[in-house]
Amino acid sequence: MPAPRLVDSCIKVCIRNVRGLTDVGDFEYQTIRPVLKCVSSAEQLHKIEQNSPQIQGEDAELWQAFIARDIPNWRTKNYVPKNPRNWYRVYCKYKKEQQQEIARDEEILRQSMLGLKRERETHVSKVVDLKSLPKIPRDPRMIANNGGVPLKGKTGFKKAPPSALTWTAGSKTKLTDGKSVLTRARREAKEMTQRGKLATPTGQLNIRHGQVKQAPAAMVKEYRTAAQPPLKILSRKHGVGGIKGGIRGPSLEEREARLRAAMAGGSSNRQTYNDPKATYVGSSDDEEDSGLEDLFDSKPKQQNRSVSSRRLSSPPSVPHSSSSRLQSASESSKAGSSRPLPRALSPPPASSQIANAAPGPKPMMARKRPQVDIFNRGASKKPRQR
Amino acid sequence: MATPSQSKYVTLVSNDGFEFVVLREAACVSGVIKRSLDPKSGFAESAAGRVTFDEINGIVLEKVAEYFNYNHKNRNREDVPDMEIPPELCLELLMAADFLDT
Repeated sequence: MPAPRLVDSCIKVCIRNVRGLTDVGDFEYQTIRPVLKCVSSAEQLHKIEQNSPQIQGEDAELWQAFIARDIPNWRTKNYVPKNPRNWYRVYCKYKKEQQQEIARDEEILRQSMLGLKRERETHVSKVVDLKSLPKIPRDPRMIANNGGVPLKGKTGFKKAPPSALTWTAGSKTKLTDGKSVLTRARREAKEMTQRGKLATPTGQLNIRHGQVKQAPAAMVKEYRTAAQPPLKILSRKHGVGGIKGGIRGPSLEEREARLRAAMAGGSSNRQTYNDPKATYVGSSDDEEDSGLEDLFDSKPKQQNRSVSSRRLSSPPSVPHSSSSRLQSASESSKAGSSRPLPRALSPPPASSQIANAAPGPKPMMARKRPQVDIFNRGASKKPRQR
Repeated sequence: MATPSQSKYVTLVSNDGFEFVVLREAACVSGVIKRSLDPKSGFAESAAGRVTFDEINGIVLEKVAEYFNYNHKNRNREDVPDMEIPPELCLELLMAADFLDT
């Protein structure tokens, strides 16, 4: 048949609208069975049964399908109604028992969950109110306190003064009495001192690493020496000679005469004769040499002579420093010209001390220094020499 | 004997007085109608060409007559579209169709 049967078409339409089905009239079960099989809820089937009682007792297969669908373990119970028309009650019994089982399982689950929760709570940290904790000392520098409470009223953190200049709206210190005026003055003075500082940690400008901050020590020394006044002559006799240059000539001749007399007399006399020229004081590298000379001077006269003669034989090779009293003594006639040269050399006090320490006749020391004259040791001798 | 008088059409009457004239050939799709109109069976309906249904009201019978025509029209076709059946009628129509063995 090309077109479907009318019965089939109708059944199809009924199944499509089975949701609104509340009764099947006086249909026989077998006729309406395809439609009833599509009923999805037990309640609806029960309602259809109530409205169309003729299908009761024949729809056991539908109820069994419902039970198999809704009850998981229906086979273990496998209830069968005494009255085959009461399949709905069997279904309800199944349902009720299932509800009880579910409730029981839920209770068990809840108990186990509570146990888990309780166990977890024992491992959980709590948030405690701050007041219930013991007090922590408020003063980080541990100033004397009474069990964590500072003795003074409000110590603790003092607000540090601002490191930079801040522009705030006026002064908050009210000028009500003398005390407040003082407070304000103090504060303003503090602010002024703060104003002068730089904001860097050192309070100074940042300096490049390799920048020269100090003059080199050698340079400083050089400048210092340059700034020093010219060498001073400590010798009294020389000062006299310097002042009265003209007197020198005759005095020298006089001395030469004396020298000759002394040479005839003894070596020590000759040595003392030299000392007026040797009394130059200063600082120069020649001190050592002169000191050495002094030491050598302690040797007998003949040796000195030979040294002086050697030096005279080679004037250019002899440094200025080596020029000594011996030279000047030998060249007595050229005293005026030779004077500037000896001035450069300066026997230091150290050399004189060495001379003092050196074992030798006393006149030798007198030759060195005017100090000797001050002591007046050689006073008795000197007049004799001169 | 009634063969010559047999008309091409038959009349279907509902329980509330509605009459539907349909092709005899189309109406014979229903087994009940076909047997009742069979002259061999000797029913009164076969002589008059008029069938009365006491259990079927006019609305449902109209739908049944519609189906007869629809079925007759599409008798030689394939893939026939479904006839439209309103949901409120489906149970009664199912009952009628079951009764008519259509």
